[in-house]
Amino acid sequence: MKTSKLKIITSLSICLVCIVLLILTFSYASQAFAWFAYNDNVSADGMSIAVKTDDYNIYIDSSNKYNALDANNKEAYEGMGSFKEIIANQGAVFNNGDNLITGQSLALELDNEFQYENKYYLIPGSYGSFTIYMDKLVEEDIEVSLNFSLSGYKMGYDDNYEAYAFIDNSPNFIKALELIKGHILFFEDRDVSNGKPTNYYNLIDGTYVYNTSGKTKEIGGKYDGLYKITIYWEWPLLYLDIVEGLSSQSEVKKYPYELAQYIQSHKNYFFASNIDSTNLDDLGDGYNDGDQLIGDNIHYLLLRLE
Amino acid sequence: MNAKTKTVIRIVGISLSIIMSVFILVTIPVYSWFAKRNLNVYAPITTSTSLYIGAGNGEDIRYLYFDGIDVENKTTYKDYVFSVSGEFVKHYKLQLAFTTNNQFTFELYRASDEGPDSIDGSVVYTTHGENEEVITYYIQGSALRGTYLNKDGNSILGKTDDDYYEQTYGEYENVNKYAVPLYWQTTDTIDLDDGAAFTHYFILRVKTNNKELNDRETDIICIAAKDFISADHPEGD
Repeated sequence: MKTSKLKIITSLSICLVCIVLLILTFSYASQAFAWFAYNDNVSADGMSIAVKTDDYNIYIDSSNKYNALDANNKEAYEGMGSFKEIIANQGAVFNNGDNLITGQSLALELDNEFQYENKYYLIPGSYGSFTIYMDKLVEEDIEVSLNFSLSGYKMGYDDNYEAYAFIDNSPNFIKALELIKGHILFFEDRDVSNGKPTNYYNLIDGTYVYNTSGKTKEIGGKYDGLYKITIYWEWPLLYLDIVEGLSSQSEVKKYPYELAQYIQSHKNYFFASNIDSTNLDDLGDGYNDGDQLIGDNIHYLLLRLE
Repeated sequence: MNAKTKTVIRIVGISLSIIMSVFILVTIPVYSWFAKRNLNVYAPITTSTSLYIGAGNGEDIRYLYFDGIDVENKTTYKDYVFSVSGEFVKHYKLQLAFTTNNQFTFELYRASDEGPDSIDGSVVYTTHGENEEVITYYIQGSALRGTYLNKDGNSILGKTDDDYYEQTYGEYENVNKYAVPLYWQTTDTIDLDDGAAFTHYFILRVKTNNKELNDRETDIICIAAKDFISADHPEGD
């Protein structure tokens, strides 16, 4: 009886070891494969792979608009080095064309088209875009779903008056995090006239879905054969601008109709306090107070796509 | 196989199981993290700066007034205190815009209520509200350097054919020459290193230029402050 028990325990132990070895082998093999696949797709022209699946790869381009090390930008983008360090510590590397580390997430700059005195300002009234490129690996059309999550960091000064980024737990900071979801709006497309956006289409509310059906690939240059996916954003200057630019079901204006529904269901994203009034002045004040709250509390914006 | 060998095998087997189980716990999260890469889009948000003019003691601008200049008692100048407050400002300049009906001239000084007593001048300011307080502001240092942006040669008049005139009056030409405002701006930025909330005090000296008649004329003077991205000290001081 005793011998048979021992035999069972020994057999179970050996089986367990075999299973563990199998799992480990599979796990390490997957990592090794991914490592090679990853490095195979880092190109020499600054394009870097960000997402790799069996059906598609997503690439991003290099940029250094907010490079804190650039002496010309130092004044305007104080503390960016600290902020980028936080992103790096979360596992992301920057798409500056070098120093890529296998298996990490990537970070790209939000392209801002609003300039004042040759500096880029992300403030009420500014607008821009960001672009990713997709390489479809299968014959049939595919649909890619990217989940958006917006967050932010505050700037502080250490004892040596060096700026640094941090997450504040104050009620104002938490409220400001909520407000950026209504003040910085993302859209799937836009029209431009004389360098200024005139119409936006399809508000992105949390998830962006891109379907290759009916889309054309880029032709020539380093983007040859890739699908260009550009997402547009705007921080409307005034609440009045939004109201006056809202499309209705019968008339197309600057902002898509679904933005009206978004405002109705997410008033807390637009106004600094709970406003029962329908008076436009009161709502405008609440929106401006929201801008102020964002500006006072969030100094670095981070949009994560997963 | 003897009992001792069996025991050794058993111990090795169980030990390997424990070690491999620990490996599983370490490896699977690492693999998950590796497999779930994401894309981060980032940008700096520029803080909304606040910069505003007020009266003494940082009080509301409604308590700021430049009245009661009596030149008949041989007054050669009169001093007034005002404040500039703000937050998230790195550098700013001050600008005076004034009409020239009285042909007064103006000087600006930094001021402080903490002394030391200044032989150059001081202003006594009485605060408002329930608990009135009397504060004396003393001039600190010499007059701020500045330049006229639109002075017409050596006269005290503003140019009538430049952009400033057009911005003020457009194409309208029937303007009294003393009503064309002169714009005077500080040469150097006033610098704040950390962007923290601040209140600075200034004394505006209105010089009467030997005017002897109280002719009840009025002039308009506007004080403006504007933030600058970077410091500006043209002569390097």
